[in-house]
Amino acid sequence: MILDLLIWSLWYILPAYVANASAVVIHGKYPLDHGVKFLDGRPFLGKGKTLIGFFSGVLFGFLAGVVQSLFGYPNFGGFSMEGVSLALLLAFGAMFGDSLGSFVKRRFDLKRGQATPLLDQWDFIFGALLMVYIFKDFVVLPSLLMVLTILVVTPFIHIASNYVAFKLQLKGVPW
Amino acid sequence: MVSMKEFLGKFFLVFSILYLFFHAVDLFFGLLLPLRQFVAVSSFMLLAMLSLPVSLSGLTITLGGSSFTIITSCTGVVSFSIFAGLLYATPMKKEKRKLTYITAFFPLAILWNVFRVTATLSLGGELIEVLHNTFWMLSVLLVLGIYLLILKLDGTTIKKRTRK
Repeated sequence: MILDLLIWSLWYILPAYVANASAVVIHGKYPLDHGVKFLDGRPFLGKGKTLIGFFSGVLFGFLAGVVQSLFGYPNFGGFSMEGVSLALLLAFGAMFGDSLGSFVKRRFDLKRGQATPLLDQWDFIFGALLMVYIFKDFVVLPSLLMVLTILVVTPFIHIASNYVAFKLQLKGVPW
Repeated sequence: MVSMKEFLGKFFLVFSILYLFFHAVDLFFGLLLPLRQFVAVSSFMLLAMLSLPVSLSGLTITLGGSSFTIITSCTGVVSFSIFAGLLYATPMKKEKRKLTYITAFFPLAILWNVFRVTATLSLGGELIEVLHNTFWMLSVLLVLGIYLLILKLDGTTIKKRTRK
């Protein structure tokens, strides 16, 4: 039962994971915030968040959901357009949450790449779930147990995957 | 050093933004529903483990003759908003750790509220309203206690301004 829950939860949230991971691999140069400063004089998001990174994250997360939909997404059992919409929301939400995390980090004067345990692991998940709940009338919501599983498991997966990305020299820091 | 005016300004800015944000997203989009469900289901399970005659219908827990509906304020978001405001407004030696403390407090606030609801219902009886308010005051003390503990660990001292 626990294994089932784990598999279903990961299957559900996979587009968000793919979106977040893609943004690490694909870099751009043009900053998402256009170099704009916030009221406190610090960068709005910082140079780490780029237009290419943001939209490639959305695109690859969405494509992952389309591939999943061929097998049945969010539930196995045939293609559904609802799964495609869900993937788009999760991918966009993940990138939105990731950017929101950067916005908060800049407000606390944390530099690009500086580790913030928990926030680094949860920001994109909160963003993804936020989008899904905003458009809850159009997509399948995860169960409470699935949300909990995702929140518990994600930090471990995030740390492990970032360590691998660091070893592959895709990231400058192992978090 | 930070002046009292600056401290209060920063505190109320962050507290108000977070407080309004949480209540607005719940009111308009029902975004805190999973959190409210979590508190309701966890409290219900704890009360059932205590062999109390408890029932759960949606977000309403009924025990004896008392019914208790889990609203936004029962999830820990108010305590969290206070804590985040306090820590943001306080200059610390290790400024970079602030955000980690704030993030780490979020699950703690939720778990504390599960305990708060469970304790209020299990001990309440006729005095449920009194206990509800008492536990809210304890929540504020918990926030202040953790805040002061963090300042102590950080080596930050709060200096009392003396009149000359």
